[in-house]
Amino acid sequence: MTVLPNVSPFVFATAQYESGDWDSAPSLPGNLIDSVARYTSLPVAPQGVSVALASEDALRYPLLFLTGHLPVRFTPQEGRVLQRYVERGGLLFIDDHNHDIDGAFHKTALEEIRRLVAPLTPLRNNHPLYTSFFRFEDGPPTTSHELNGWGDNLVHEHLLAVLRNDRISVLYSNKDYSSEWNFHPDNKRFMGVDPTRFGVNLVVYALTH
Amino acid sequence: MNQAQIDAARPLPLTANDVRHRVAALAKALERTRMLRIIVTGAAAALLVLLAMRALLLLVAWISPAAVLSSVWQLLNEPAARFALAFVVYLLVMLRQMMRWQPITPVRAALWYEEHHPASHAVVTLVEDTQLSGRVAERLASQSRMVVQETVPANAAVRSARWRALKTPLGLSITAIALLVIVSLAATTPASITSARGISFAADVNAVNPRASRLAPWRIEVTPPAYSRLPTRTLTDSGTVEALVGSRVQLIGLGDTSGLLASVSPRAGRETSLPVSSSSEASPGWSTTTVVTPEPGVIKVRDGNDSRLLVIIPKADSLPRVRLAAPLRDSVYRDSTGVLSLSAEVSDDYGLASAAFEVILTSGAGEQFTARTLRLAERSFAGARTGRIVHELSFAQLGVKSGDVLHVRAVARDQHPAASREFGVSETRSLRFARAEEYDSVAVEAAPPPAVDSSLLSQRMLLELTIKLEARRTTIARDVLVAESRQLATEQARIRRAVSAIVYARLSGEGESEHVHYEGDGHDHGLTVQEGKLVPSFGGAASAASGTPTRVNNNVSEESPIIAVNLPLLEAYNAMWDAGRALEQADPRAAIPPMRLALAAIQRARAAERVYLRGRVRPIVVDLARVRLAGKDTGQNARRLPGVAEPDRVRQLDRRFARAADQLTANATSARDSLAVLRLDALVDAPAFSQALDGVLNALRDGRDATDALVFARRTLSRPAVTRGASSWSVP
Repeated sequence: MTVLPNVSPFVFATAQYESGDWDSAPSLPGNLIDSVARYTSLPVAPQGVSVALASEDALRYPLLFLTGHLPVRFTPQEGRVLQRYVERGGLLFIDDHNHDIDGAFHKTALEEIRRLVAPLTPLRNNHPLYTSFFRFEDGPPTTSHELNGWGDNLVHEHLLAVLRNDRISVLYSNKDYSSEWNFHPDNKRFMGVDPTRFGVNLVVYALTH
Repeated sequence: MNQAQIDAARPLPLTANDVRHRVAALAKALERTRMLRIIVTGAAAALLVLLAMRALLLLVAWISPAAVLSSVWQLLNEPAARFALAFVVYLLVMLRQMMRWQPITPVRAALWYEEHHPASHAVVTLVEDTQLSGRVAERLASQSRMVVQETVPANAAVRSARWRALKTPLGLSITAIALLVIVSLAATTPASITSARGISFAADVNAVNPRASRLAPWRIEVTPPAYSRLPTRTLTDSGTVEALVGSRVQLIGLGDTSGLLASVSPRAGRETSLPVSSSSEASPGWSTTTVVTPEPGVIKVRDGNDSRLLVIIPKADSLPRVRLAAPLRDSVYRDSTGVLSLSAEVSDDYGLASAAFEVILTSGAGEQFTARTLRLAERSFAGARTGRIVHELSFAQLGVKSGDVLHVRAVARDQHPAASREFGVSETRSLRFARAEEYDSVAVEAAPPPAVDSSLLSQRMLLELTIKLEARRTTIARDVLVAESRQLATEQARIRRAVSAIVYARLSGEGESEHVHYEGDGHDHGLTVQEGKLVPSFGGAASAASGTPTRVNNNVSEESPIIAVNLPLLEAYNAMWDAGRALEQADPRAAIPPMRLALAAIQRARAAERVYLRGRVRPIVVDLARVRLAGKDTGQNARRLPGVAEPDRVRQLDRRFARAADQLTANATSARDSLAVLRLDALVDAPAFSQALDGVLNALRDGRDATDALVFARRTLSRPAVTRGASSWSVP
């Protein structure tokens, strides 16, 4: 693989929203950027950015990452930008850092997405997302939080998504990838399997679909 | 001719009894004539009523075609009903005439005879007095001039009278019959009369306005859902209906149901057939019913090769509007005690059911969060359009602890009965209760800092003034030099005190400045005062008092972070002491070097890195060159497929519109249907154009010239490009 010249590098953007602790996984952006550079030749910015969801700047990023533990209540301006973002083809990835299927984050985030975009429905496990770079035959990879019975004590078999024209617009995870991926990338050398590989799929899917 | 022949030719006079018999016969003949006149007059009245009703129906159908669906029109349109009404009129006329009936006696007949035969005399006397003697009676009979040849006396006069009596009602009857025949032949249905007016735009008039079929005119009854409490609306012969979602739309038309097919097609969905049943309101009539869904749709009714469309535009029931009036903004609370006033205003387009405050209290930290959701101050509005809810939220009753986060919003529900109905929600306010250990870093929005006093001198300005004073030193008197120098010393002391306030505030949190402590007084800031200067009380930084920054920086690592951050300010403070002392002595030259040191130290303090006790994780900056393609796993390039460009919806609509307009002259029915479907499809992408198409459809429906409406619709869809300024072809 060769690095493409004259291409704007991919910038990992974390969505900043008013109501919750949007910055609860501060090491995740660098970790995913490291993975994108480690496995792909995609031009990528070495550092992520935080972008206010209420700002039109959010429309500049093809992938927005949103996480937190606290209830999600978008302000009217955040709602408008989110709707425009989805209409313009962006991919919003929401991860429940609270790893609790009936927790405040889960309920409020689903309610807000249903109100502003559309109801989230289970994403089939053979969706192109799971083969966009690495192959995940069984769908979304499990996290240690799930396997250890944290939160709701469930292993979620599906991610949830809103599809527009057969393309993922909003992807929602109960699996707590925010905790799973929230470590310094240098620690990957101690791991047998890099848990952030699915994040690479997410980035590649957002950039190629 | 001799006398005998003349006598033989003279008609023989009747006898008195004969005259009486003839007069009696005359009376009967006159009575028959009168009865005949009554009958013919009644018939004429009935025929005129029939004609009037027919003309009224035609006139109504001409003025307002849809009115033919009214119940009155339906009644009048029934021939049996019309004949019944005409018969009633006939009977009424007969009754009226009979009530005025007076029998014609022989005396009245005799009077009538003498009136019409001036030469006759004594007939009345002869008839009136039956007791006359034979000779007198015979003489009167001869004077009556009645002759044997007349079977009925005054036959010609009777015929004349009969004609005069009957000619008017007979004439009216014949005219009414003729008009009825003409109307029946020329206008068998009101539809054909309407279409006969013609539409200038379309050649195929009957196709544009297919009122000869069972599909036109029709009536639309829109029954809104019960919760909206709106009345039922009736639309007349419209091609478009806008209705609240959940409304019942009933199409009612004329004619029987045989062969009629109806279906409904959502804008993005499959066609579904609708049952067509007999209507009880129009006899014979048909009706079909559907319910308005959130998706726009079209009802299509087919009658053989003919068809007609009804575009249904759903009108959504808006969610309640909720405005949280208090609290107005997010906030951070120092204590988890007290009461918070909540207030919200709610309103809805059709009526509110209830409203409440929704509070989510989240507790926890790190990876352990719990949440409680509460609904407070729930209030029912029972259909009111506007309302207000208030509540006093006690933090203590809620069990709020420090570190908790409270999300408050107001929610309202309207009277829509669906269980899945969304709530109207207000903005959410996030209220955070600070932890005791993090309060020093909590961003509490206090009052904005006071405006800078522009009359105060900065250290840089003071330095400039001192340099100028030194330059003027040889040209001014000693007194002036001393006065100006001491004035600068005062300003220097002011700035020094300001710096000391910052230093003390950082060290101890105390706002006071330049106060002295003694060893062992238990209140040590880590500084000692030596000759007015502040000197760190540990050895590593003691040299800071000398005002030599290089030495201070070299020893930073031995000192606490707080002292290290404040060292530049300590240097500035001590240098200001030196400068102030020189200025008090009227020696500006000696003051300049320490003033420069102070300014440089202030600059370093400004540029120093801030330390936050509750700092964030330092952002990870990936060394891309080091990690690029160093991963242990190998993925697979995803094939990037070129995306399909979104079609230009306006251009598509424009093309379809042009095709439909072209079709108007060739196949107007098809064109009308195309325009109706186009109106449906344009609802989302070009609502103004869709509205303009409604004007076109209305013009076609009413038989008006649709040219203007078509032009307007075309301009609405693709407005001409506006160029600013004169074009190159403009005349200068």
